[in-house]
Amino acid sequence: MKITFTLNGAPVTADVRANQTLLDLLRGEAIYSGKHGCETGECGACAVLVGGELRPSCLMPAARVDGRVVETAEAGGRPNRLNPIHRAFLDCGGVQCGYCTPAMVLATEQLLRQNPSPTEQEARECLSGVLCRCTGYVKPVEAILRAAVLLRGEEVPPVDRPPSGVLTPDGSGPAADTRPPAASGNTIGGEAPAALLERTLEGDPLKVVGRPQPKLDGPRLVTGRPAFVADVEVRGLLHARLLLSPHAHARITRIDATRARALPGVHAVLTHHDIPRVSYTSAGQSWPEPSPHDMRSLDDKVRFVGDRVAAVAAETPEIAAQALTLIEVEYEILPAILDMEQSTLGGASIIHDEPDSRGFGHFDFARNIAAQITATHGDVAQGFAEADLIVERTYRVPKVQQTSIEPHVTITYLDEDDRLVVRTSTQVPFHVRRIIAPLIGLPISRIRVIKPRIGGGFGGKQEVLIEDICAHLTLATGRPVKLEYTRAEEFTAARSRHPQIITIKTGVMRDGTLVANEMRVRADTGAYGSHALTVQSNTGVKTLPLYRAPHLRFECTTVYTNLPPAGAFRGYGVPQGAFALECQMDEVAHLLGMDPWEFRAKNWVRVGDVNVLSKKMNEGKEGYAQEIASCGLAECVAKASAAVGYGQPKVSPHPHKKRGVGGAIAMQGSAIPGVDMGGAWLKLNDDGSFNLLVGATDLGTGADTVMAQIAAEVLGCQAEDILVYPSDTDLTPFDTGAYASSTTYISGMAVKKAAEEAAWEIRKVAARLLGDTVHAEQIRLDDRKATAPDGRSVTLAEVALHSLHVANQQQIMGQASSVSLKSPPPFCAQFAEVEVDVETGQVTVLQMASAVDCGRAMNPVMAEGQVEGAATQALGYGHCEEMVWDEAGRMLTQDLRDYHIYEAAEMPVHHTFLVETHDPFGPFGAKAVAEVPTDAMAPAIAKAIVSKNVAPHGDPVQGGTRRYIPITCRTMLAAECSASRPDLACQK
Amino acid sequence: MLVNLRAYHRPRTPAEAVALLREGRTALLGGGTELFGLDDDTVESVIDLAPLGLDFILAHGGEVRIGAMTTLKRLAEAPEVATLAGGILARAICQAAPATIRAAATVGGTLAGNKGGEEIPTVLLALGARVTLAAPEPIKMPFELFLSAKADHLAGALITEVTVPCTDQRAGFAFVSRTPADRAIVCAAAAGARVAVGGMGPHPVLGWSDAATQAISDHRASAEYRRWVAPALVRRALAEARGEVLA
Repeated sequence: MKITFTLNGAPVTADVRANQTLLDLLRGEAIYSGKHGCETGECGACAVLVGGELRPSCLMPAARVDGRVVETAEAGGRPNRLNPIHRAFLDCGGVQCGYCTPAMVLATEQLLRQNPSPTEQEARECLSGVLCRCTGYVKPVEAILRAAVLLRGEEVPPVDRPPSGVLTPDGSGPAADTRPPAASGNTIGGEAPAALLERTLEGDPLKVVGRPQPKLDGPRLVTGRPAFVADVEVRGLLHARLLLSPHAHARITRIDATRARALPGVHAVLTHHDIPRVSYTSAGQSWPEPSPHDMRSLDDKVRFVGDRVAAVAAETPEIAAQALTLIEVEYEILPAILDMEQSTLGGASIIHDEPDSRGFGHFDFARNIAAQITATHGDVAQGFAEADLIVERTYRVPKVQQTSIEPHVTITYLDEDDRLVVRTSTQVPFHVRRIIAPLIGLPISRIRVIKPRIGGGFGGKQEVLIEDICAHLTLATGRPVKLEYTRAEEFTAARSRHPQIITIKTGVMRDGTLVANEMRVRADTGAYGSHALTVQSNTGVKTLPLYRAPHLRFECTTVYTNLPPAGAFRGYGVPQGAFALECQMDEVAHLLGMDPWEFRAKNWVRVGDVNVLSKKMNEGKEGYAQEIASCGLAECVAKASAAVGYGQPKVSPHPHKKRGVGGAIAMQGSAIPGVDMGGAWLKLNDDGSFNLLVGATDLGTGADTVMAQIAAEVLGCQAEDILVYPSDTDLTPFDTGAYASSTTYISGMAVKKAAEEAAWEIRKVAARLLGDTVHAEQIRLDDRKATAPDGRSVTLAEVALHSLHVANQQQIMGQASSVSLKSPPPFCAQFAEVEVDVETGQVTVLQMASAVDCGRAMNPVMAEGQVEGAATQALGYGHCEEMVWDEAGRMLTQDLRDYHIYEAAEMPVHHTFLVETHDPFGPFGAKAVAEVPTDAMAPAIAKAIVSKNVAPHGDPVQGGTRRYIPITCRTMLAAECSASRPDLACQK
Repeated sequence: MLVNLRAYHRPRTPAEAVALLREGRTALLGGGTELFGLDDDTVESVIDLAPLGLDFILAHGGEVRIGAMTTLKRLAEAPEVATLAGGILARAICQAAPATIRAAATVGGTLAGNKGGEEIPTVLLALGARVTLAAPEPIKMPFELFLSAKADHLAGALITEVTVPCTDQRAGFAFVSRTPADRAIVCAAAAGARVAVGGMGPHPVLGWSDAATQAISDHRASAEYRRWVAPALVRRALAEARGEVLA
């Protein structure tokens, strides 16, 4: 039917279909700012203004906009003509991946039209219905308030962060480690030791690194320009859909696609009969992938509700959906295992009974064991024999999802040379190319993988999840194919964090000296073993050594169940282990009658200590002992605890509510030592700008901007002069990808080295231009110039023009790779103040604090954004997120209503601190930042509830201690109102 | 996705809409927030209720009449609703859906559908609301009667308006949810001594004893938790309705 409406000020006439949504109509009008994030309106990424009101365009029938006024983010400005709202979002760091940003900008627009001076709460509430998984909302709310000031025509100071007192590598040693932070009672830290405050910058006059450079790719994102995988129009595009298994465990005895293939508009239907059977792992890891090769693109057996059965490519999404209903499948239903404790019992069905699956390391498919890990140091038996007190406790952590707002999406096509191009939302483009090659029967050289902007990953896209099947469909049809998950498919057929049951046995002397710590883990990898070994390695290897003990032991059995596979999720095994270990430390301290922070400070690692377990276990083989070369842990604890008033009495004004404060610490690594590797290549252009080609994969974090800052620092120019081109397997050097907190540390070092190489060439040319008396070594690069000691200079543009066009012609360039055997751990302390309604069990987190030792922060505003986003995910992990399934293995949490992630209006206040140390190994002293703040918030919340100023309001089963998350009213009250766990048998 | 949806009707009167509805394989279109999120291949046409003139809020003769096509946003922001029963209806609406959904979802759709949450119907039940259906003749019935057999009442009929009596009675609303902005798991609303409890079963009910007997278990809470927490919420709603200061 014909409709007419006003779109961004211009009249539009369109012929719309009855089932067409406004989102679809707008995309047809080349409006790309509305993004697909779900089908139920809850994520808000598709929201646009209709009649001045922000509403989800995915739920609005296109026919309904007849006669109405529609405004999208495109109306507000262009990348080179930003409005004050755009500026504020960029300056404040309110943009990370940018996928939800256009909706946030429109929400701001709507608010400020009606209310030019909003309060902070009004700013938070205006984002109600626009979910963000990256930022934790702190910086978007700052941006809204700043935009209001700008629009009122008032002056605002620039967003800046004064250089912090960067610690020397061992700075935290003498200053903090010798002074136990637990002075008395629960009061810890309070003020930082004087020696810390006196520390000064180490005298390096950094100009670009360490500054809050706004995101270089931000202007496009904030104005809603096409940047993401699905933001392109491809002629002849087919739409793919997957037929997913309705059964948790079944053999396909017959599958017939004849009727589906006969449907007009269907171009291909693929079943396991149609493609070669090749075993692989979807884990996007370095070769050889240390995960069991237990998957096939299409198999004759299904192993979870949501497993692939068939794939369709058709002219329209509707035809593809209809074709799925015409595929005839008969199943032989097999007994399903939905409880990880049942997996290894005798008589359990064998989930991987096929002969062609290959394990990695220690495994036993006949007993449903995907991976087994043991790592020991010393002899825990001896340690327990010596100990005065032994404490053994068991903890449980749930299955949660990464929940990037952009779902998994891939477009594949054949290019002009008949090579396969895979345009995909991935953290691991090079691994995608290598892993799909044997599956689709093409040599690596015939495949090109392009990663455009990515709408969040968090580990969920360190997975070759859909690229293989999309490529199969392109090869079968010769046509471009798009495959995009729905939100329900994300929750049923993507990846998640491994649930675990963790038992810790601790031996300790009466004076609080740890002698032995043993962690035994059972983990559930679901139907496939993606990251089964490596995630679980981290659970022990990156947690137990946080506390010194002569005897350490870690063992883990990762089992298969008939549930959706787990995989990589920010923190990668550490959030699980840290929850158990940090709760355990408090329990031990309590039994010793010691203050938990005095107990921690007595035992935690310090500069010069060696992580002994890291030598025992690294990606399934022997690794490298890691010496702690920098550690700001004590200051992290002091800052975070003081921010939430730890140790002060907390009293709710309401008699039925009790308050408490808890805290915890954690460490992570910076990249996988000896495995993670990144390359960088940089060339000088005529005008003094540089192209920087890096394999590093910016998945929304701002990594490209950090890479530009590092290069600019070395080359004496501005970050804007560096044109970063990321992650295209044809054009950029190899990089393992964005995971394991490796990008700044590994790829950043490659960029620094490549820039140094180019800088040397620039100095040589400049020295020639400046005359015989000047030597290249004496030239200083600064302010876009090469300057001699006597003050004479030539610009980088002059150097470029000379070397490209005049004499001794050469392309000035630099190239380098980086790999490291060192993986310096970042540290963090996280605290939370929590209120419990003792009549209902409702838990409310009132405020939280995160202090992170990330080495030197390359870009403090972005680093804060990483901390805030990670802490918010950790808040959800501890408080409200869990995937729940029924007795048939079907996910009950299939949308963003049932699976709740925090929204802006309800966020607790979050205090963020960067405790900068100088690590000797990373570029400019940097360590990782993005993962460690996902580790300690859940135990902080759990401990706030059991801290002594919260009445020990019954948990008769577990003696007043929460040894499981999430702390929903359901889990709390189930224990309180009866003596049993909730009556959902499937609930773990 | 509504793969087979091809026809789009814009009836001018409720009678026309009901006639179309009775042809079958069709769906009523309120705000679209529930319908367009469905995967349903049985829907071949939609009946857009926007032209029926049902977007109104009228305070008159001791009651507030709310047209079925009024959006939740308009309703929550209307001055008539802000003062009605101490504002508990507006509070319930804001708890039930985020601002973006409130701007789209309609009152009629929320009551007729299955995904609108427990908050709004629970409050309407406590307030003694009545529902007017076009079947196609107008039928006005108490909200509890409507809820007790919703599917039957809505077979071949559509909601045209909801009427809420304006009383001087104070009211109260209490709920429990995972996080502050999450929708209620269990909620209670009181107007004077009249109490409604939602989240215990398929629909809200009047009175505590009925609520306790129907308590269900699902992925958000067990039946025993629901039975355990509901009395506390009822106490709170009643206390607020008595004018006691609460959290």
